[in-house]
Amino acid sequence: MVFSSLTFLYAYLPIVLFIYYISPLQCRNLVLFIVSLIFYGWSNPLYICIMLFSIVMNYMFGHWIKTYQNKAKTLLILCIICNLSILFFFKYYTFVNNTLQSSGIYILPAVSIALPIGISFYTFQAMSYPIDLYTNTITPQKSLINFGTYVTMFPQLIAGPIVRYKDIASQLTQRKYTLDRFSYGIQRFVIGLSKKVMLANTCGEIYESIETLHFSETSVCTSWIGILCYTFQIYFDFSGYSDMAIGLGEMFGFHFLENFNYPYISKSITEFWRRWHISLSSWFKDYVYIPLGGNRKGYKRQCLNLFVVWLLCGLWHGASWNFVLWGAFYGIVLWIEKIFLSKILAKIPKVFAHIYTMIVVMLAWVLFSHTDISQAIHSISMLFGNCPAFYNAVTFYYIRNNAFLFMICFIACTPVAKTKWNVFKKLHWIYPVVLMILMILSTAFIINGTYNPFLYFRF
Amino acid sequence: MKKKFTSYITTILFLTLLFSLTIANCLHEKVDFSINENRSLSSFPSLTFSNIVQGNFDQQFENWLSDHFPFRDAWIMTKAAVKKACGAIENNNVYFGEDNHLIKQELDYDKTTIQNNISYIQQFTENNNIKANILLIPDACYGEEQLLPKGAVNMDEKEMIQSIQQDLQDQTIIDITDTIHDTKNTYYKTDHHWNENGALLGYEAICKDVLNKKPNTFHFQKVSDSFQGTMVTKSGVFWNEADKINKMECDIPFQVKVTYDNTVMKDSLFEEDNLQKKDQYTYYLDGNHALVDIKINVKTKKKAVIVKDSYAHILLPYLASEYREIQVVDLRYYSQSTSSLLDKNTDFYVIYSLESFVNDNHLALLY
Repeated sequence: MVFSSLTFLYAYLPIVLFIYYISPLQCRNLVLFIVSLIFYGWSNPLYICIMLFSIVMNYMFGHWIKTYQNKAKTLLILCIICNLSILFFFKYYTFVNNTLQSSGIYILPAVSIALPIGISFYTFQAMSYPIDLYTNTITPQKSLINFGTYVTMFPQLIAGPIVRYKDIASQLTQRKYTLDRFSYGIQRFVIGLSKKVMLANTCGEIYESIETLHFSETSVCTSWIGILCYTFQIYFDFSGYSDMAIGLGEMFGFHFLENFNYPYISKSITEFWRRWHISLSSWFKDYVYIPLGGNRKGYKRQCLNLFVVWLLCGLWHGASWNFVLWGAFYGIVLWIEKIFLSKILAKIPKVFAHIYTMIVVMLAWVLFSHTDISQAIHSISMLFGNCPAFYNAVTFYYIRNNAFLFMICFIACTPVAKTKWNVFKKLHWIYPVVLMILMILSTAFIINGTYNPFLYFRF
Repeated sequence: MKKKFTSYITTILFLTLLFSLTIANCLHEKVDFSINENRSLSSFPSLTFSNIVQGNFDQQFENWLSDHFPFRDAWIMTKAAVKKACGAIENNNVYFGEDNHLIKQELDYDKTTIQNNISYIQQFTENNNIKANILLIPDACYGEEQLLPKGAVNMDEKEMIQSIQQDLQDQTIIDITDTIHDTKNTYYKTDHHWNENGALLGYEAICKDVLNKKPNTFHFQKVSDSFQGTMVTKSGVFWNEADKINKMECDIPFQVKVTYDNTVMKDSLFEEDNLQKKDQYTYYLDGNHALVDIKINVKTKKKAVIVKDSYAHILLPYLASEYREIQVVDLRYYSQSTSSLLDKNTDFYVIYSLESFVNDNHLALLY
């Protein structure tokens, strides 16, 4: 189930809110655990088994690490191996096998495996628990239900943010429910939903339609519009999802950390990655980069660490070579910034630093969006002139038809709404009204998305 | 205090909306068929173990919920209004044209289908030793190009029609591409079909290129002014005025006997009852039938066999004045031999809109 579906909005959410709030306080974790499993198993109930296995395993390892202190390190390594093996099998087995086969090695049997949704998120999340126990940053959770609630909690289950046990440990046993928090949750949820449904999906459609143009209709400018749309789509999709997760969290009494902080206003790639998918980059920093030695073991080792982290980060995003390349690309850019570029970026006028950052980010999204690398290279070449025209009627069509949308997207990427430029800031009564309009419009967009009139004949 | 009040209002409004729509959803009467969308709505997914485990239930449930959502049409209209308000020039691939015309965006096409369709026609005419009379009708986005909003893109349909005509040189080509492009008011404002004026151009071209005679004169009689066609449905545009449906009457009156699918007999080319339906275009020749046989009391030996899509329906009241019998075949439903309908006095026509011709592969059933 996804948040931006009618099933979630007008069946699941109201029922769950109702049941949750009529349950006595001490049962609410159990309720949340069960409804989260239903949420997760809705598309395929078999995946619940994998998730339950992962929960019990990490819970047990956490318990053992605390009980057998002298063997803690061995247990931890074993635990990490188990977690990564599950992740590897479901996410990367086919990829590795295909790569081997394409280089003529046929040692692995072909198995068709469907990727269980959200496995990358919850594996990382569950795994952080035994690791944190080993480093003594947290105290063990006695109740399996509470631990299960932490891992499965449906608001952040499918697309993050990656919540760490230590950030949420106290909330698992004691939560504060206030009207202000609930209404803040509504606000975040509705804004996230609008970002996903009205901005991301619409930009996605434009990107798709530009991608499928006949080559004779393409032009350099249209290609840039295409990748701009993808840039908007991926941000509003992902950050919209995080907003919805944070909002739902608040509605159910949880406080999650922010996951995005206006990444597209960054003035360097280093800054971009401090603002983009914060929970993932900090996870990699704390659980990979720093344990590998970080920047404490000399310059060469630091470069190597950086590179390892970025290859893994790329691979985490998807089991395909283009993601590895995408990660490596960012690794290299960050390294270049580290050795000299960031000093230059700090000196030049801000606007150039912004332009540099966005061009790098957009080119990286081209790599990200094409699992076929040769297709990605072709797309990049189109951005730099490998088209029949610089601009044409099609370009004007996309600009004319979507100018307003692009303007909204542009503004929504910046924190303008939080500054003094926001003329509505003082008009408190306007917020509930705007939120309801957004909710209604989002519903209209979702329904329209499934609207499929059969116009000509009926067989 | 202010903040508290805002929180209060936000929470109440949100929960009211959420729960009232959910409850409305449960109470809402479920129908099986959407007249507006012209399709069967999905039924509640089966709750079997295998259906759930295969992961079908999720999507089927969502489709079911969406198909039966309360005030479904109003939601679609809302989205159309948002697009219009944001200055877009189309919604759901329908342009908001000038003068309240709703025009479907340029067509998709499939090159192999075009080539196949050309060769099916060539094959058929060779086998039967006849010449086909080919009429390809451009779509509104070419025929009414002058009404497209600024910024609309448009494929060169003329070039495409010409290249198809080039490949069909051995046949008789009836070309209305330029005339329909240069004449105003030849398509419905709310529907994708051409209207009685457009069809008249088609008839005149047939008289000139095939029959070598002056066309008969017709006058129009308005029978409806409430036609909301397919483009209204598709675009969700609710602020435009409806179209008129006109009956064409020949100045030299004639009588007809129409037989639908060898079963139902009628004595008119116009189906009055259909003016009460959503799709009033079916007023002409009662919409889609596999085979329509029209016998006319016109003094001539000539007969016509027409292979067509729905664009031909509105052309037939004109064409009927020229033949003693016309047999109309819709290959989407007709599976028998078309060549058995031919005799030595037969004019054979292929009448398609460009959009069907470049996408519909049922011409393969022409034999």
